[in-house]
Amino acid sequence: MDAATEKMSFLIRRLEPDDYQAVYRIFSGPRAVWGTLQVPYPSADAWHKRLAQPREGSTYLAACAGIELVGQLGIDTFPGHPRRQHAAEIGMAVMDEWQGKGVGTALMQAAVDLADKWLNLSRLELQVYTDNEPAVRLYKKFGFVIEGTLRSFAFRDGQYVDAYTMARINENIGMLQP
Amino acid sequence: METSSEEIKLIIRRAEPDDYESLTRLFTGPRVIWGTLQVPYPSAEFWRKRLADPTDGYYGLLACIGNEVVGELGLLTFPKAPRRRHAASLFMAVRDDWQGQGIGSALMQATVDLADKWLNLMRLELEVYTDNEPAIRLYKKFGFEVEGTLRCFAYRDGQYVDVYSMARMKPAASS
Repeated sequence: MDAATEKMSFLIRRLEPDDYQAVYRIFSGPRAVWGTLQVPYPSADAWHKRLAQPREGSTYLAACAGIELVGQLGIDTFPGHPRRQHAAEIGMAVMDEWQGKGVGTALMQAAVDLADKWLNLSRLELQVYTDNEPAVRLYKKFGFVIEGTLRSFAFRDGQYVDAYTMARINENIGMLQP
Repeated sequence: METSSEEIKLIIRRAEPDDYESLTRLFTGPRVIWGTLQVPYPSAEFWRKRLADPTDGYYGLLACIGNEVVGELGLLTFPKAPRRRHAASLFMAVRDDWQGQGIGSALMQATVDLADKWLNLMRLELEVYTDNEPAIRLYKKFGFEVEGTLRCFAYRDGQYVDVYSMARMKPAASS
């Protein structure tokens, strides 16, 4: 008998201002807080305001399971810095109860496709806690390489913790060809 | 006849909105552009706006000799990010015609004193082009260590170039 693992598929769409409640729910989860720079007890109102004023040069994606928003990913470029226009920083979070189910993979796939095929970004960068093994594995799967270790990068659960600085370079993109 | 040598008095002070013209001039220098993320032909209006409305948590320091601004250092703290409040990033530039004369050291000394003794910062971070040897030597002199190499980080003079990511941890208090 086949034990078929049902592969969930997630809808990826743009994150909209009205999604603030769902984002607030994501960051109400202790694991999401642990893996990012967020602090406990998020404010729904603060997320409402933040999503209403999107950052210039940024693209925010939402991953949905049915109608439920279960993960989000941001691609932040550096407007005002022409010498960094080939690059962008990635940040993401998956709802605690949806972690380990492929949401991260779906978001990352959409992000690298967008970067490679539409946003013309040859360098994607991110920071990830050195002990966040599932996240490090995810990023490596998408071609991110560890470029360094940032010591005592952030405060987390009572102590300073290190983060890897990782990046994915796409040499095939026109900009990197002589 | 007495020849008195005028002592060069270097002053470190805070950057004020009216300093925008001096900063524009500093950023016209090709070596400064080479060593930073700025582009040629700086706009005075750009610097005017930047100084008039600085980012929260930004400390701009200037090195001055007489009326001349010969160097600048920006220290950027993260007041809105509690989990990064112990850290700050810095970037600096010394006017082309004043490089190699200790201006960078003076700015760095003032900055680490500010960071260690007043701003209660534990971690200072910066990026520097991997081939910018004088700058790397300066940062190492002040306790910065290379933490990584960021590939194709920025575009410079027609190509993508790497930077070192460096950081300095506050030294433990000596008893």
